[in-house]
Formats: sequence, structure tokens, C-alpha cells
Amino acid sequence: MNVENTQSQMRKGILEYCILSILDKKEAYPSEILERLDLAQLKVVEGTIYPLLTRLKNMKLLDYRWAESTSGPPRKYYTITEDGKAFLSELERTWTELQLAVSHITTL
Amino acid sequence: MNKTVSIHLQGIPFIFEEQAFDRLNSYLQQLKLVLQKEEGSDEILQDIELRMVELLQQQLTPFKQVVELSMIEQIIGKLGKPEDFTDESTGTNETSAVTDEPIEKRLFRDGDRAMIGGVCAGVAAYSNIDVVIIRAIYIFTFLTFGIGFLLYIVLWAIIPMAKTSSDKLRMKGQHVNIENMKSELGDAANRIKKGAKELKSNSGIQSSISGILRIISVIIGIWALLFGTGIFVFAIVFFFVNPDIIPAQLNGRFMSFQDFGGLLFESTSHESYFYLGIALISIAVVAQSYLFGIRLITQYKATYLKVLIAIFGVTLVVGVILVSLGGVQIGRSMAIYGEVEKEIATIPGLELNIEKKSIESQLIDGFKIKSNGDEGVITIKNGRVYLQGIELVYSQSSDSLFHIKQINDSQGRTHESALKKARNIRCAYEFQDNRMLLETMYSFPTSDKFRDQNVKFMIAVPSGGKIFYEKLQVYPSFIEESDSTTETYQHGYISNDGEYSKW
Repeated sequence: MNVENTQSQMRKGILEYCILSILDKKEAYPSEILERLDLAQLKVVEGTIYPLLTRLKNMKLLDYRWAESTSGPPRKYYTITEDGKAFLSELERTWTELQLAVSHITTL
Repeated sequence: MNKTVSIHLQGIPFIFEEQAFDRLNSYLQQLKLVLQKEEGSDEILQDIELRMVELLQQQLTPFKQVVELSMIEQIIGKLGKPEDFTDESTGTNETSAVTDEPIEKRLFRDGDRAMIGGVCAGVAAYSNIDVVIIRAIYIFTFLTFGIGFLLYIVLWAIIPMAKTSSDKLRMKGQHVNIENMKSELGDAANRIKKGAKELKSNSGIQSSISGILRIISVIIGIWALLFGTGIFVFAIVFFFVNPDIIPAQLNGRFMSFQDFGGLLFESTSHESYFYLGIALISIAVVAQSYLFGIRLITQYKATYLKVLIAIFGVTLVVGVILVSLGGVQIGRSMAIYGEVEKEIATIPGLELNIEKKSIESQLIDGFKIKSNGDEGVITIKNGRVYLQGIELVYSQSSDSLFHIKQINDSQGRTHESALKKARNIRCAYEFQDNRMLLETMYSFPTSDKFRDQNVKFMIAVPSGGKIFYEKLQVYPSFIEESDSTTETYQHGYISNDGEYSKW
């Protein structure tokens, strides 16, 4: 177990939360999501988000629609569902708790 | 200058450098493999391909329209290694855990090694048996019962073709992991290269012809094996079982081949040469058939096979020589023809009634015995061979009497022996007034052997005289097709069942 692996595991763990948060604000297609993550300096291997999106969609937390694009293939715009919103608020609560707990432990 | 490949990803056309295409193709295959356990893997792949289209479009400009290997490497670097795609994976520990799982082998058709539809190759991969043996068994069932054909069509229809590398690995029961994938993809690359080479040397058609020739040679090989087996079984039956199957009666039972042989050969030494020859021929033919069949089926060529072929070739020649010696002996002992005749009766009057004589006339419980218990054409009883069928020949008498002569003929090594054998022939008859009671069989001693012994009766008929056989007029019996109304059949033949035929 090296440090990179641990880092990537940590990122993976919060990736779901981040994606749902991004989509909670605005529908987006995968490249946009990646752009947002990149802007936020959250380094993820692109490949990880595709299985994740499909899994969230299969869990009915996300939905999608196809939209024509002027510059390439049609885009798959993901939107958050009501279930997804409920799920997200649960995650938010957990995240806040974790953040508090972690900062409490690390700054002690 | 580089070769390019034209493809489309999610409906968007691209021109790829050949190497770039190979790299992308193998990457997508690996992804498919890694993602296959994931629910909705097709969807994920679609998403990934869409992303690739985007990334490629970002890189291409009007001045750079061809996708190069470096671009693909860059995109792959961005998307991540195939292992990264499974978000559940926690590192190396799990990979090894996956490897320990029992592999679920699946039956696929193997298009890479296919001759027709890849069914046999697939079954071979599944069962881990050499494909040639599977094909041999298949062709055997096809040739013997024809069910092989139907079975093949059904299997062709229901077994899926192994399309992806992961299918091919599962077909062989190998673990689907990245290492095996690489080797499988390497195999595929080699096959493609080989195929390309063959195409370049313009032998693509030749290779398909050689495929057909291969099938034909396997079929011929199977026939050779079947033929060899048939001869082997026949030889075993002939020499060791020696069943009584010849429909000739020997002291109340059927004759065997060897009983029959004993009635042909004059000396036992000739007979043993003959059998030794048959044995050598059988061994040689069986061995040669097997060698030939095995060589055709397996394409196996070794020097010792050639030595064996030569040895059994010599065996065959020796066998043929011995059998020919036996044949020549029989031929020589039948070389000379001998005929004897004897006047046996002179009958006055204008009518002669020939009747079939029943052999037994004794009564049992008031019943007269009609059958003689002899079903075969040849019967051997009390040291004599009984043959069926008597010939009758009619001619004009020089006076007013019927003159009946018995003529016996036989073959022999010398004229004396032929005449002696002819004199040994016996035929039972009896005369009562103008009735001639005739047995339909004649006999000679078994020690005389079969030398084409025959019996006929010459009957000279006075003018206006008539002959009846079993109340049926047989002479004169005018030939209907003839132009002349007076032309009559001159010959009659009474067969073993008492049937009369004329010519």
C-alpha cells in the first residue's frame, strides 16, 4: 500500500458526493463534470467516473437525456432525481460530521 | 508514409494511423473485459467512447486530420488504465482473489481455428482435446448415421462465436485478467500478421483451398480407419471365430469358410499357404489403412512411419504371392475337362413323364415325408457332397424309342483324374413304364473336391414323341418369339426346388 493508492481511495470515496453536488446545481454531461472536478483541483482518473455515473443512474439517483451538440456527437446530460437529492442530503450530513470529526482529531 | 484505417466511434468518422487503431482497439477490448461484471457495461463503454470522440476532436485540426498513436496514448493516459475503471477495486489484493476463483469455462465457437463454423475448434478448446480428434469423431458420426450433420448445424446455430478476447479466454478456461489478455491479444496480432502476409503473397485463396483439402484428407483418413477396422474384424472372424455362415449344409449345420476351403484344395499344404497368405494380406491391409488414415488425419510425418509402410508393403506382396500360389493350385487342378456318358434307359411309346422323386418315402404316423431337411444348395452328408440342379437336353431319336443317356462331367488336373471324378458322380433315378422318377440332386465324394461336377440327361425323342415334367409338357415346347413355328426349346433345367426352366 503506497501513499498514492491511499490518496486515490480517499478521492474515490468522496467522488460520488462531488458528482451529485455538481449535478444538484445544474445538469451536465460527463466532460463538464470532469471540467468542474478539474477546476476544483480534485484529481481523478477520468475512467472512474463513467462506471460511477452508470451505477448512480441504475440506482435511480440520476437520470439523463440526450442533447444534440453543434461540435460533435450527441451529449448525455445527467440530472439529479428526487431520490438523488435525498441521497445527497444524507451524504452532506455525513460529510459534515466526518469533516468535523477529522479536523477535531487532526488538530487535537 | 503510413497506412491508415478508417473507422467510426459513436457514429463519428475518424482516420486512424494503423498503430493508433491497434492501440485503441486493444484498449477498448481490455476495458470491456474489466467492466463486464459491472451492471450496464455497454452504457459505460458508450460514455467512454463519447468522451474519446470529444478528446479526439479537440486534438484534430484541418492540418492534422489523422489520429496518431501519440494522441491515443495521451487520451488513454487521461482516461486511466483499465484497472482504474473498476471503482470497487482496492488494489492488488483483490486481483489475486479474483484469480483464485474457479474459472467458469464457456463453450464458444472458435473463429480463429475454424474450418467451417468453428464448432469443432470450440468444442476442442472447451474439452481440451485436440481439434483433429474432435473433427474425426464428428466426421465419423456424420458418415455413419448422418446425425453429425444435423448436430453440427444445431451447434453452429446455438453456440455463440467467441468474438472478444475475453470470450476467447473463457473458451479456453483461462482466467480473464490483464496478463492473459495481453497474451491473447498478442496471439491475435500474430494471427493477423500471418494472415496479412498470406494475403500479400497472394495465397489467401490457396489457404482456403488447403483448408478444403485438409477436410477432404481427414475424411479420407477416417474412411481408411473404418476400412482397416472392417478388414480387421473380418480377419478376426475368419480366423478365430470361423462361423458357420455359408449356406451349405455340412452334416446338418452350415459350413464355415474353412470347411468350404477344404472342399477346394487338393492338399493341406496348399491350403495352409493360402490361409497364411490371407492372414498376411489382412495384417498388411489393416496396418496400411491405419497408417494411411492416421497420417492423413494428424499430418504426422515421421521416418519410422515410412519404415512401417515399407515393412507392411512387403508383407502385402508376400501375402499376395502365397494366395496366388493357392489359386494357381486350384486352377491347375481344374485344368482338364473330362466327360463320361452311359445309356440308362430305352422306353417305347410316345410319352415320357419325368417326375421329381421324393427322397424319403417312409411314413411317420401316417404322414409321408415331403421335405428333405436340406435348405442349402450344397449339402455334405456321409462323406459326399450333394449339389442341386439337373440339366435336360432333348434331341431327335433315330428310331421310335426314347433313348436316355446320363452324362457326367468334371474338371481335373489330368484327363484321367477328370474322368475318374466324372464317373464318381451319382444321380438317383428310377424308371416305371414310361415314368422317369428323378432326384434333383447329384453327389460326389468330398475327397474329389469341387471340380465343377455336373450331371445332365440327354433324351432322344422319337418323332411325335412328347415329354412331360410334373404333368407339364416340356417337349416339344415351341419358341414363341421364333419365326419358325417348329423351333422348340432344346434344354431344360430342374432346380433345387423342382422348378423347371427352359431355353
